[in-house]
Amino acid sequence: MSDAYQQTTGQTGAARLPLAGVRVLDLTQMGAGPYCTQLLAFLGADVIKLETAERARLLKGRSAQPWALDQLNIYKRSATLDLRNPEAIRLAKSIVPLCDVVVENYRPGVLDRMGLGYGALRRLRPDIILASASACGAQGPYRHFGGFAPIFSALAGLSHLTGYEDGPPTEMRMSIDLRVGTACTFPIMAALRHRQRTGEGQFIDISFVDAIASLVGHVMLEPQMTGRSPSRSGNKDAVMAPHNCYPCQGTDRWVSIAVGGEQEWCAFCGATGHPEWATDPRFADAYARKHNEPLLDALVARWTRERTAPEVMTTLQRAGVAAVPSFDSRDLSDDTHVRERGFFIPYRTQEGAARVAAGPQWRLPGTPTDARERAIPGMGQHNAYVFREMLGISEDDVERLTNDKIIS
Amino acid sequence: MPEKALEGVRVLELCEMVAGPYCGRLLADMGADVVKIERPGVGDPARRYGPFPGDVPHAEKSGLFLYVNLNKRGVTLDVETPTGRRLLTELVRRADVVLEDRPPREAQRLGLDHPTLSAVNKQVIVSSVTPFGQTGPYADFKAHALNTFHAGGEGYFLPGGDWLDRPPLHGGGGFLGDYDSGLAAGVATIAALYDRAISGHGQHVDISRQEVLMSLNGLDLTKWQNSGKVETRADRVPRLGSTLRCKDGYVEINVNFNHHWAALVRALDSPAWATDERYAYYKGRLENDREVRASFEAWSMARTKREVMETLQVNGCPAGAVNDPADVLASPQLQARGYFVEMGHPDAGRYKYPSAPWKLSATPASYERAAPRLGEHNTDVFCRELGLTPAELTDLRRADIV
Repeated sequence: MSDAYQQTTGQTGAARLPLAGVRVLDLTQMGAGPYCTQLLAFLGADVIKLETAERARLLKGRSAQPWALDQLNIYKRSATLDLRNPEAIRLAKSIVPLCDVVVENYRPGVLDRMGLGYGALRRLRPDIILASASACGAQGPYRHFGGFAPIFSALAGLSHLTGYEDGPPTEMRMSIDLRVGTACTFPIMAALRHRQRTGEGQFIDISFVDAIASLVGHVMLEPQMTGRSPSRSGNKDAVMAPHNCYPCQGTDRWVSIAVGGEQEWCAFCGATGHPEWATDPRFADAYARKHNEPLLDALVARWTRERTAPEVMTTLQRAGVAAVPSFDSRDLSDDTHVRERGFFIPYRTQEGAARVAAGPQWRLPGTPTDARERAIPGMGQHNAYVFREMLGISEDDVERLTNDKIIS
Repeated sequence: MPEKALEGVRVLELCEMVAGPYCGRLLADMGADVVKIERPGVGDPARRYGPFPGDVPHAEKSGLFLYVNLNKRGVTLDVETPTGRRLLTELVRRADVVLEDRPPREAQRLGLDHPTLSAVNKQVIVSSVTPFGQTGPYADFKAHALNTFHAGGEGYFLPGGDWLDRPPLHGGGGFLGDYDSGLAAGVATIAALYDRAISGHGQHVDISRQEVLMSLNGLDLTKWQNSGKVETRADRVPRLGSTLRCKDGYVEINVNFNHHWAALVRALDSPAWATDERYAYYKGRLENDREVRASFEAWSMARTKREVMETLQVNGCPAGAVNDPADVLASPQLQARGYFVEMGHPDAGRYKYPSAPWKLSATPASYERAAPRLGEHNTDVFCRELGLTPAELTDLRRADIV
């Protein structure tokens, strides 16, 4: 256990991570699945990414820059197998008994056809946890639908709800993949906890569309309660005004301001140097402010335009009003708060180049903040570890399997 | 009856609105006993958010509150009073997890911080869900859902296209980043429970809503540090795939690979425009994107979004209707999966609620009770569990502590 932990974090003497000693066989591709197993690796699991030439092909793709998807492989091991070959399937099966969790995001049915479905895995390891994730889930009329992130958010209602009142729906991309990846991690954690208590494994079926629909779940009650199906509303809130992004000094610089309740409103009027707004009948109460929102927005924008976004934040936060710039990637990389918390994690590519990756969504004692000591695994970098050390295959056999392109 | 993954886990939730409460809901769906503590009299501000049945606001009928608090029990307690704090201490002694969302300085003042709580119960896990986390210069800054969405960098990316004269956007539904934070807190809280079974001690889970969004947008946010490119909304131009118009709305199609393009051409019965050799490869389609999309829309505008989606998918081209909430409710796919569970509530009535998006074969999510009415389980928790007499509870009510 301590060995797995040290190999995973490269740190000794730090707090133990929760999933130290848990081994994950990662059969995922693209963005969502690899982010799920990345989160498990951040929790201390030993993740073995089983891959074919697929990653190399994807990374060479036009839009994906190598560092972009590769930063989802921090702390993982990589072994290569050509799973189209029956002997490779036999090898994959021999890895399963040494694992606790298997994660995959092929289309439903594909894993079964490969002979690696839940029934087969369970015979190899009775308490295995298999997490299968797909666009629409393993059951239902759309189970065979293919999809990418923007399609999940379209089907789930999120694209329709995001946008200006007078504009089209908004397409959302990478963040949606990472959201559904997180939705795979949650039930895996629940299943691990159950197994820890009872020794029982299980099969988990995750639908990416359902995962996104849950993040706008309350909106699904609106047609039932009011007979209306809601649409886009820009930055508007049902109750608060001001509640918008306002222009600041500079090009394309903005600050978000949300004022909730009378106390915040009075503080806002004081901090902006406009105490007269507080007594203006057009803004006297929440109803009036909401009713005169366009006028109010124009007055607020006139005040913000004269200032930088950080200045607005400082002035308003000091008065207890929620104001935060609409940060871009450079702001966040330079931001004192983000830096002090060490959110971005430095790492090295296979070639030794220095890069940074985003950290996980939580801080637990021992959560890594530096990954330079262990480079992103190259394709098949851990073949010797997996095939020789874990499986105990002889050097000659590994060489033959490599020559036969089974270890690809 | 199937077992529950979080059987026997007792959670105290001192959270409001969406982020913390959604974590509580996710844990409750997996079988944890979640007791939500609300302020006497007013309760969670989510109760004032709609939708409301027939548009009539009512503290027990808020769609937002009912959705994020399903499956919990609820009590009222004023933790600002010494007596309220004493009762809270008793509850903490019996809890496995305390979920809290106060600014760190306030949490400390109220004794809701990790050092204080762990002095009461060494094994307790404290999960704090705050706008900027427990440390750093912004730790006590205030942020509503709109602010954290922009704090985390996602707002600045939306909406893609030529909209630079208009403000960057909040995520749809109004609480996207808050739900994300609840999910993140759920993952980390179960991880802490898993760890406790081995190590024997609890720990402090620090969730910064800003960092949750930064992590989810990490692949785009790190472009600046890794390649010197600050991505803006203007870089996210709609292209094939993109959102395209059809007869009754929009459809999203993604033609990322050549075999998807071939599938699209097949779905449209190989019209002359689509077999133009300039479009055979990605680069050519990108260069002639406007033209390709116009030709496609000439076809799609004669069809409904569902027809377009099904025709393309049958042929192997990824596509999805841009559903509105009513479409999602009526989706044959979600119905077949049993995604919506119908639950009755004594004041609000019967509605279909989204259930967990995952199906676990041995420990499925279970739905046993609607969201609690304000203080519904006061007798349950304070008398039956903590052993107060009915007369004591009455006195606490008179003192506005319960």
